[in-house]
Amino acid sequence: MNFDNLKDEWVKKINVTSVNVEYNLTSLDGELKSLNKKINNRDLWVLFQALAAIPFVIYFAITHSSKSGQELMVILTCLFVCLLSPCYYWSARKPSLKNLNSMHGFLQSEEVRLVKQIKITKYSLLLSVFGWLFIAYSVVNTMLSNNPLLPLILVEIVGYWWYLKEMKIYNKCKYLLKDVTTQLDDMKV
Amino acid sequence: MPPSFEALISQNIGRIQYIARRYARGEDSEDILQEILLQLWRSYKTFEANSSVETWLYRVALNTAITWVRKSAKQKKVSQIVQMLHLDVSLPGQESCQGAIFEQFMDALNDADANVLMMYLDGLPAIEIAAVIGVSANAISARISRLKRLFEQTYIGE
Repeated sequence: MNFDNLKDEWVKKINVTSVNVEYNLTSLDGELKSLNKKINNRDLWVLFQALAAIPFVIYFAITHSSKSGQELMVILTCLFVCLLSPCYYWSARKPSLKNLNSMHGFLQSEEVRLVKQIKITKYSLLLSVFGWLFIAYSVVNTMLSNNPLLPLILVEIVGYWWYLKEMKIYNKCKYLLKDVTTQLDDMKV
Repeated sequence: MPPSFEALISQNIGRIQYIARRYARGEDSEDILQEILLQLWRSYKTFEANSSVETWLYRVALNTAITWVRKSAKQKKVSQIVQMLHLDVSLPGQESCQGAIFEQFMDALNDADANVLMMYLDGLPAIEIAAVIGVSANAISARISRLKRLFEQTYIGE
């Protein structure tokens, strides 16, 4: 065998019959995979925040028998985070891809999934606005009344810093949806 | 007019799969394959057939594979392990068929050399390989000559 024979071998290697190319094309789902990874990480943060808020609710409930307006606000806020975060977590669960046996089916599934993801992300952006308001309130409250809220504030700051990334996810979803819709339109033609 | 995307992928799936397997094994290579297809899909709209399909494809596929490997520390480790495995199996003379020799030779090369060789075997001119790799055409020619010598020394004898 000489060096030129390598060409023959190379041709053999690349001339594989396109084993289920339709299936391979569904690998365009790769972008969604990375997106979903980010979403999963985000969901964990939400869950973490919800769990982190629980001890503070208990703490305030036990130690403050006569509740002022401020303290009530803190408790309600914590409850809000506790209750809403799991709701959000469950609502953000991804619809599974179906009908993957054709490019058209794949794109349709993608379209459905992206539309849902955009809705979910809008919701989480709303939640993040609430989060920033809560942080502002907590900081002021801590300064005024020296409440032991600092750990919760830190948790929230980190958590809502993560939410800033939501905007990126949102934009990515929109971008992908545009791509997918265009492809579907092309197929119709 | 460039071919349709699906036709293009069908025609070149072998090349893409080989590149993906070159940079990782098992599920990781499937991930790379996915990423390459995605990037090809995205850049397909801007592909205007100014260069050959192969040149465009190699550029996108190699850049994507390299970026993917660099991004992931885990993949880096896997890649190192794979390279070590390659070293273990790349002793010449153990396999006799041409396909095995081809595999052995490719496995023994570093990524840069293997990429050049793939494109050379695909019939791309040195100037186009140079455009993909980002070095001069002369450097590509010299590298190919060196690879030829290496192959002959290893498998044919001096």
